[in-house]
Amino acid sequence: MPVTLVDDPRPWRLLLIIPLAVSFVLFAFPQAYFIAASFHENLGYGRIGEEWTLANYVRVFTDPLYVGSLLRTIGLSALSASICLAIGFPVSYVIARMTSRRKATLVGLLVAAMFITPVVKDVGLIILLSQNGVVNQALSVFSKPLGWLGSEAGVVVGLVHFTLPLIVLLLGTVISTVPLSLEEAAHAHGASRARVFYGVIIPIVKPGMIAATLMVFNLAMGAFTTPALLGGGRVLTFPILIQRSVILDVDYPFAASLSTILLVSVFCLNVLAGYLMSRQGRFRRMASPAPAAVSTFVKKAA
Amino acid sequence: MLTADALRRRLGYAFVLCVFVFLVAPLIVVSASSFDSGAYFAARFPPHELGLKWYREIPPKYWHALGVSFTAASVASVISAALGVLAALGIVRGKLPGVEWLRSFFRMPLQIPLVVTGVVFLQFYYSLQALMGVRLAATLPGLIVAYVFVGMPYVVGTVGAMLERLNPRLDEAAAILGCSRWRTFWSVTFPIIRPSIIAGMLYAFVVAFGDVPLSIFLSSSSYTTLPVEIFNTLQFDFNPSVLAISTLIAAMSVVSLWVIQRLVGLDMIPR
Repeated sequence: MPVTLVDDPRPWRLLLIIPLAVSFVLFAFPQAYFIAASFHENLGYGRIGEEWTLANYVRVFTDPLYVGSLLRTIGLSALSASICLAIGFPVSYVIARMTSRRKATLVGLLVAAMFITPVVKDVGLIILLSQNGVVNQALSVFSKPLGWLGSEAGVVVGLVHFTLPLIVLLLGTVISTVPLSLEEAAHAHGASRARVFYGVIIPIVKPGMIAATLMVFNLAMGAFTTPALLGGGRVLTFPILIQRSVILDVDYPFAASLSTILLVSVFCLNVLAGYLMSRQGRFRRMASPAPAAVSTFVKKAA
Repeated sequence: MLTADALRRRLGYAFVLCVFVFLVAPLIVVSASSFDSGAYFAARFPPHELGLKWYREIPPKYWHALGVSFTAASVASVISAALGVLAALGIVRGKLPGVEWLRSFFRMPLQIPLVVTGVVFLQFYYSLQALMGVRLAATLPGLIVAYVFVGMPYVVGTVGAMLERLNPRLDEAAAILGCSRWRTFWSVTFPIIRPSIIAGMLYAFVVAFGDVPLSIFLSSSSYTTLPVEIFNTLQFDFNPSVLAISTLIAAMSVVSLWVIQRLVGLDMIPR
C-alpha cells in the first residue's frame, strides 16, 4: 500500500524531536530561570539571594523613574502606532488595489526597509534630523531649528520609521480580504465614499486592523536601538533602562523584573493580536479565493 | 481636465510616494554622505566632494567586527536552517493534534522583545558557567546560539508555508512509481522546498547580522559585532567612516533580500 505509506504521518513526527529539544533548552529553561530570578534579591557581583521576594517589583512600581519610564514607553509606542495606522492605512489601500508590476517593487522596498538593521537607518535619521540637517533646513521657512535629537519627538519619528513597513505589509494583506467587487456593489447602489469606507471596508478589516496596530505597538515597546540613538540618552524608555540595569548597575534580578514586566505585557497583547488575526483569516475564507501565498502570510502574521 | 476619480487616484499615488521617500531617505542620505571626502566631524548631505576617502579609512576594528558578525550570522543561519527544516517537516507532515500550539511555540522567539532575549541569554550563560563551567558569555559560540534562537522561526515560517502549498500528490506519485520514502524526499520534496530553505536562511542571516539589542549583551571588547560597534560609535564618537561601513551593511542586506525575492517572492514574511 504505497499511498498509505506516504500518508503515514508518524515518521515525520520524529523529526520534531531535535528542534523541540533545542527550542526547549534555549527557551523554556532560560525563561523560567530568568523569571524566577526576578523574585530574588540581588547580592551584588552577579550573585542572587536564596529567599523569594517581591522587592524588585515593589521597587519598579514605587520608583517614579521606572513608573515614569513605563508610562513614557507606553505613550510613545501608542502615539507611534496611531501615526503608523493613520499613514499606513491609505498606503496599504493604494498598494493592495494596485495591479501593475510596480506593486512588487513597492512590496520589495517595504521588506528591505523592514529588514535593514535599525542602526543604519538611525544613522540616516540622525543626519537628517540634526541641528543643521535637511529637515530643519526645510522647516527653516516656518520656524527656528528644532532639537529633534534627544527629544521625544525624535524618538517618535524614529519609531514610526522603524515600524511603518511592518504595518503597511500587515494591513496590505488585511485590506486584500475586502473584495473590490463588494466596494463596487456598494457604490453602484449609491453609497457615498465615506459610507463605503465606514459601512463596508472598516467592519471587514477591523479585527486585522486592530491586530496590526497591536503588533506595531509591541514592536515599538520592545525597540531598543532607535530610542537609544535618537533619544540621545535623554529619553529613557523601558528597554533602555533594562540595558542600563544590566550593563551599568549589574543588577540582574532587577533587570529580570523589568524584563518580565515588558515581556508579560507584550506577550499578552501579541496573543490578543494573534486571535484577532485568525478572525480576519475567517473573513478571508469567506471573502475571496486568495492566492495561497497571501493567506499563508496572514496566518504567519498571526 | 481630470475627473474626480483620476485626481483622487493621483493624490493617492503622491501620498504613497511621499511615504516611500520617508522610508528610504535615511538610507540614501547615509550612502550619499559616505562618499563625501570633505566632511570631517559631521556628515554632510548633500555631499560636497565626492570620493572614496572614508571607505579607505575604515578602521581595522570595523573590519574585525564585520568578520565577527558575518561568521556568527552565517553559522547561525545554517544551524537555524537545519533545525527549522526538521521542525517545519514535523509540523506540516506530522499532522499532530494541536499543531497550532506547536506552531506558536516555534514562533515564540519573535514575540519576545530582543532586549529581553538578550538579558535572558546573558543570565542563562552565566548560570551555565556557574553550574557546568561552560563559558558562553562574550564568546562567538554564545552569539551563535542566541542567533539560532531568533533565526529558527524564520526558517520554520518560510519552509512551512512552502510545504503547505506543495501538492501531496507529487509524493504519492513518486511512491506509486516505487520510490522509497528517503528517495522521495531527496528527489521530489527537497528540490521543491530548497528555495524556501535558502530564503529562511537569508532572513535568519539578515536579522542576526543587523542585530543590536541582543548582541549588545553578548559581545565583549574582543567579540563585538558590527552593528554594536556602530551603535557605540554613534553614542560616543562620530567618525564619517561609520557611514561607509553602514553603506556596506545596507548593501549586503539589500542583496540578500533581492535573492529572497528571486527565490520565493517576498509575500511569505514570517513574522
